[in-house]
Formats: sequence, structure tokens, C-alpha cells
Amino acid sequence: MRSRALPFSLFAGDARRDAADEAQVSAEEQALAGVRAAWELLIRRHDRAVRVALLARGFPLESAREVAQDAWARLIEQSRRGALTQLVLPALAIRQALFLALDERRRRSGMPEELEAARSTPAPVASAEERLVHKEQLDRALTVLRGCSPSAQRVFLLAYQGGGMSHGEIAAQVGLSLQRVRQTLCEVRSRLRRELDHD
Amino acid sequence: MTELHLTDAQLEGYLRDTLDPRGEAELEAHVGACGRCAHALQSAARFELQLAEVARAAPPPAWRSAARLAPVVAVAAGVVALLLVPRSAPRPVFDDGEPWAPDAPSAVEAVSVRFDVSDLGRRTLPRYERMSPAPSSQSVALR
Repeated sequence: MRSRALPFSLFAGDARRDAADEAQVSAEEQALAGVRAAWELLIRRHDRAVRVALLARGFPLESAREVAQDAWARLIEQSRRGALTQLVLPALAIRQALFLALDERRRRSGMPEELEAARSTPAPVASAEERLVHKEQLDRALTVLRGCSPSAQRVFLLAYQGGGMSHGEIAAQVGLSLQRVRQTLCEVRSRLRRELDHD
Repeated sequence: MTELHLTDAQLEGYLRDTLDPRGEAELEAHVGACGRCAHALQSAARFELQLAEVARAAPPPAWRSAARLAPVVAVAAGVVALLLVPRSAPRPVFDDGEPWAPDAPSAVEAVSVRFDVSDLGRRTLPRYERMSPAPSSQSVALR
């Protein structure tokens, strides 16, 4: 009796992502060990996320670029001193960059640290009303997402979950053309933008 | 680019790091000189973070759950199919009345004949080997 292979190609994408995760862990371990090439790889991979986090908090682009560079330099320095035992990216780089950006803003304004921190630093815990509004907004967005076709949902989640795939990677993963992936993402983004009341 | 304002696609391309180096440099130069586009870039960055949050909050999609369950479903379907195979179904036989082994249970049965203790020491071939060479299709009929 001949055995037939099951259609495990369904898992090809997961396998690729697992391999990518393993490669990332390896790069982070190498970076902690002081390998320069590993740091360059991680910076290339995560620098944009750090800039986006700064831009989203209202820092201008030029400032965001400089602060992101400083944040990476600080992390490398901390790693050399052995102060880092774990490298969770991009979260650690974003946290470092936000700290530097707020510190820079405080120094420029010349305000006492406590006063400036109270003025510019967002409240660590949102009020109950803010949390409710945020949750309602998120629920509405999820409803909109569920209203999209399964294919569109898949494209969107591949683009935005985890590190997020590029359009080309998504096209290869779901078997759509690059143009179709872009069009689908544009449509989902437009629907979510309307729901999130974004200017 | 300096006379016109940036499009959503350009802003998204920059934030998702998909622009080529030249396009990226042009965008950065433009944002440095255009307050409206600088604000649009910050707004687009906030939107990107919101989209990532929506994606994080989204439940696992059905296609992924189905994919993960596929092997279990396949094995279960195979077991069910084996159980539902009618054992009393008519079997093909040879001209001399010997049953042919058309399915797995019969194959197991045939193999068991070879190792049956009653065959030990016999110089004659077990009956199932009389089936060789394979009979022609015309010689096989349903009982």
C-alpha cells in the first residue's frame, strides 16, 4: 500500500516564520555576544519601528532619526558593559528611545525634571473612561475586520501581526499577485481608518 | 515632491520601510520642509500603531485554526473510513474460487498465511502464492 503525503504545505508559512524567529533569536544572542554584524542586522530590521513609535508620539522626523540612533548606540554600549542579559526587540529599543526623547525634551525646555515629567509624560495608567473609549474603538475595528473577506483578513494579519511581512512575502504566502495584495491592504486600511476616526 | 504633498501610499511606504533609498531620502527632505506632511507622517505613524494593535487583538483566523487541525482531521477521517468499509461486501475471486486480496484486511490475512505454524516445514508453496503471476482482469469476476 502506498502512502500519500498529507497537504502539509498548509504549514509552509508557519514553518518559514518559525525559522525566521529562530534566526532572530540567534541574531539577538550574537548581538549580546558583541557581534557587530548582528547589531547591524537588528538595527536594519527594527530601526523603522523605533522611528514610527517616536513619530506617533509627536516627535518630528529629524529628531526621531537622531534619537533612534542614540538609542541603538546606548543599547550597544550597555551590551558591551554586560548590562544587558536579554534583548527583546524592538520593544527595548523603543523604550530606550522614548526615554531619551523625553529626557531631551525636558533638557531643552529647561524645566525642572519633576515638573516637565508631570507635564509631558503620558499618564502611566489611563483613566477608566479612556480605557473604555479605547476598548470600544478597538471592538469596532475588530468588527470591521471580521466583516472583511477571509482572504483580506489573512492579508491584513500577515501584514501587521508580529514583525509584519512585506507585500511581496504576503503575496508569496497567500498566492495572490503583488498588486492584489496592495489593493486588499489599501481597502482594509481604508475601512479601519474610517472606524478609527483617524485624521 | 516639494510642490506636492505626500500621498498616503508614500507615507505608508516610509513607515513600513518599503521605499527605495531614493524615495526615502526625497520623503525625508520633503517632510523636513513641509509642516503639513510632517503632521501627516506623525498621524500616519499613530494609525500604523493602531493597526498593529488591532492585529494583535484579532482572534486567530479560521484559516489558521483549520490549518493546525488538518492532520488531526485527516487521521480521524482515515479511521472513520476504515471503520465504515463494509466487511461483507462481495469480494473478487479467481476462477478456482480462491479469494483475491483486494483490500487491507485481506492483505493482512494473506500475510498471516505465510507465517501460519501449519505451513512450517511444508515444501509445498502456500496457497496464496498460486496467485502469481497476477491474473488477467478477465479472469477476475465478482462473486
